[in-house]
Amino acid sequence: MTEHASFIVAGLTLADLIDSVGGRVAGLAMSKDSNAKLTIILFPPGQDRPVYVAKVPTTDVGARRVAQEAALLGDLELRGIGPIGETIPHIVTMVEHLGRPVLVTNALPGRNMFADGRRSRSDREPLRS
Amino acid sequence: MRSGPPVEDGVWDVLFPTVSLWINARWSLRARQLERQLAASLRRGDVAVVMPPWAAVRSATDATDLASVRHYIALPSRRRPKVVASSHPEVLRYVSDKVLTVPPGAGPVSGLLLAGLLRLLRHRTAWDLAAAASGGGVVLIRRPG
Repeated sequence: MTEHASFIVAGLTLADLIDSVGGRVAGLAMSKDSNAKLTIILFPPGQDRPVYVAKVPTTDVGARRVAQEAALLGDLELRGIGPIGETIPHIVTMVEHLGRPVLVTNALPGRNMFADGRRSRSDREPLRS
Repeated sequence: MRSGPPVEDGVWDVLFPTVSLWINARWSLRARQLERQLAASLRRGDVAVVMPPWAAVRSATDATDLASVRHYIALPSRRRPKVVASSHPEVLRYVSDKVLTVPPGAGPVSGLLLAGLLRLLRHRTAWDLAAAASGGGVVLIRRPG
């Protein structure tokens, strides 16, 4: 795992990050494959929407995928891809958890399309003209 | 009262890296019981107490002089959590509105049933009931450094 060390902010851990938002987090553990990653959504105090998202690998394979994703996102930012760049997460920092790299990006607003399709008409937001 | 770590502790390892002692308090935990447990444990570090959210509110506040207290709810259960959310209303609301969804492939009837359950989770009480039913309420007690 030392191969990831150059990505990591020295001394900063995921636990520090969680502490910095007062423990206001949601952890999602949906992945079952060998690239296993946990997603931690972080809500700073006083905000009702997440500001950061952390991808935490749970295996060495997952750690390599996270490092690759960080490299890819960094490359996209350098390329300057115009307005579409606003739809892509930006790297905030890389921290460490148990010696593995954790990718921290900004949280992008979005909506759950599948759930929206199942909501009743009264729950749906009116279409904007 | 029993002690022991969760079975699948990937999420817990990430969220509670400093926890060295798990206590299953079932329905309530008095501050004196907690102090006895802490004294009996030679392990340092923080403590996670498994208890329903409302029990946590009642008893864990007695222990706030020990350290800071944070409440979490795990779904569908503490032992096999898919989602662990801090019990702040805005966090729970965001998870139920924007994160949880009916899984692809659910049939029309089960899909509607699940969608209805997800709508219920917009309300804090539903989270509390789900946590109580599945044993998914966990209190993190940070011991002073």
